[in-house]
Amino acid sequence: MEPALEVRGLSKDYGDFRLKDVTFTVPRGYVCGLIGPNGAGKTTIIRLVLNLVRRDGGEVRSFGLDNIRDEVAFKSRVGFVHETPRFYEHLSLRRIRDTVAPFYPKWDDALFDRLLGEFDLPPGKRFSRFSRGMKTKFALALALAHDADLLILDEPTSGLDPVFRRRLLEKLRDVIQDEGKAVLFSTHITSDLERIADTITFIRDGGVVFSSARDEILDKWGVVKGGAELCEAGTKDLFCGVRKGEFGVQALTDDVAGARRRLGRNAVIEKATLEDIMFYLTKGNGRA
Amino acid sequence: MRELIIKDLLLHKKYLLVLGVICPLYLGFFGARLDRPVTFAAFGGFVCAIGALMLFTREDKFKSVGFGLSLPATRREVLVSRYLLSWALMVLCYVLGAAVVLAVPGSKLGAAGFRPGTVLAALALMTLYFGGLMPLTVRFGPAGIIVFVVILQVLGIAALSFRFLIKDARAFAAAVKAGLIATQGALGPTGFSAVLVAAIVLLNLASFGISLRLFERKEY
Repeated sequence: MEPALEVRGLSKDYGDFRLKDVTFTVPRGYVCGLIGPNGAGKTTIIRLVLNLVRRDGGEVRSFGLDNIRDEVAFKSRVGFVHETPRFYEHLSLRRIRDTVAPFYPKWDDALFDRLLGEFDLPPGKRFSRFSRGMKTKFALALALAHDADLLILDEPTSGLDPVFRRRLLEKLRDVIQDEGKAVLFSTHITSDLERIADTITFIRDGGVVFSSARDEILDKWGVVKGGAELCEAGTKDLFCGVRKGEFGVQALTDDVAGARRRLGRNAVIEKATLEDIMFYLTKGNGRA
Repeated sequence: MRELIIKDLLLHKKYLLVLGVICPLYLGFFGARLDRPVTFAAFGGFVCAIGALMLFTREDKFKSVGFGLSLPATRREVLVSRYLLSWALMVLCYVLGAAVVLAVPGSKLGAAGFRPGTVLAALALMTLYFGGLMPLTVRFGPAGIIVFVVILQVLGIAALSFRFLIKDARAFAAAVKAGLIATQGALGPTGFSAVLVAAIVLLNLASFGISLRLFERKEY
C-alpha cells in the first residue's frame, strides 16, 4: 500500500539556501512531525510538496500520485493549513466556503457548518476581522470539511491559545483514527509533537538529520550531565552537542546505552526531549 | 475550469459590478464626443483591457495567490480561466459602452461607428493591449501595468529626444497603413476579416504561451 506521503531526494537551490536530498515518508495512519530551527527548510519542503515552488530535483508522491504530473488528483486529497492562513480577506467565511467547496468532490457542507460551530467561528463574519488563531481554526475547518486524506500543517499551533492547541491535537488524533489518513505537522513547538507524533523528521540547514519513530528517538537520545572530565578524549565520540557551563558539562548523546556503559557513575543521564535534541543539534558545539 | 471561474466571479463580485457600470458609462461619456470610429476602437479597447487586467492584480493585493494555487487546479487551468473571464469581461464592457454611446443624444458616433470592421479593429487592439500586458501582470503583478506605462513613457521620451526619427516613424506608419489597405484590396473584406480574426487568435495564443511559461516559473 502506497504511503500517504513519500518525499525522495528533494532538492531546491535558492543560492543563499539549499535544500539537499530530503527524503522521508509519512505512512497512512501516522502523524509525522517535521521539526527544526527557523530557516531550516521546513516551510520550503511543504511548499515543494504543494508545488507552490519549483523543485530542482527529487520526487514527491502522495498515495501513489505525483505532485506535479497528477497535480489535481494530488491536491484533491490534501488539506493544507498555513502558519498565517491567507484567504480572501474581504469575504465572509460563508463566501470563502462557496469559492472553495466546488473544487472538492468529497466536500461536506454539514460537517463544515458543524466545525464552524465547534470552533466558535461566525460564518457571516469577514475573514479579515479574525485573529490569527481564529484564521488557523478556519483553515483547519476547510481542510477537514473536504475529507482530506493527508493534512499538511505548517506551524499551525504558533498562533493558538493553549486550550485550542490541545483541541487541535485531539482533532488530529481523531483524523488518523481512520487509518487511511495521515498528518504532516511542521512546528518548532516540540511539546506538541511529543503528545501526538508517531514519527519525527528533524531538518537542519536544508538537510534531514534523522527521520524515525518518536519512541525510538526518545529512547536513543539522552542528555548527559557531569564534570569537565566528560570531554576527555576517551568519551568525546559519545556526544553530538556539548555545552560547557560554570558547574560542569552537559551534552547530548545518541547512544544512551553506550554512554551508561562507558561513563558509569561519572555522569547523570536523563532522557532527552525533542526540544533538547533540537537545541543541542542546533546550538551545541557538534561532536565534542 | 468551471470552479475557477465561479471562484473568480464570487471573489471579484463587487469589482465586476462596479466595472460593469463605470466602464460603459466612462466609454459612453467620452465616446459620444469622438467622431472617428477608429479612435473609439483604440480608446475603448484600452479601457476594457485595463479593466479586465486589474481584476487579477487584486489577488496579489489580497496575498491569496498561494492559497489559490493550493486548490486542486493546475496553473494552466488557472490561466485559461483568467483569459476566458477577461475576454468575456472586455467584450461585455465594449458592447455596453457602445450601447451607451449610441444612446447619448447628439453622439457623434452613430451605428456606422460600430460596423463589423470597426468592431474587429477594436478586438485586435484589445488583443494588443491585453495580450501584451497579461504576461507583464503575471510576472510583476499590479506593477506590470506600471511597467507597461513606464515603457510607453520611455518610448515617448525617446521619440522626443530623437526627433529626426519621427519623420521615419511617420513614413513607417504610412507604409503600414498603405500595406493594410493593399492587403484588404487584395483579399477582399471577408478575406481580410478572416486574416484579422486568425491574427487575433494567434496573438492571444502567443500571449497565453508566454504568460503560462512565466506563471509556471513563479514561486509562492
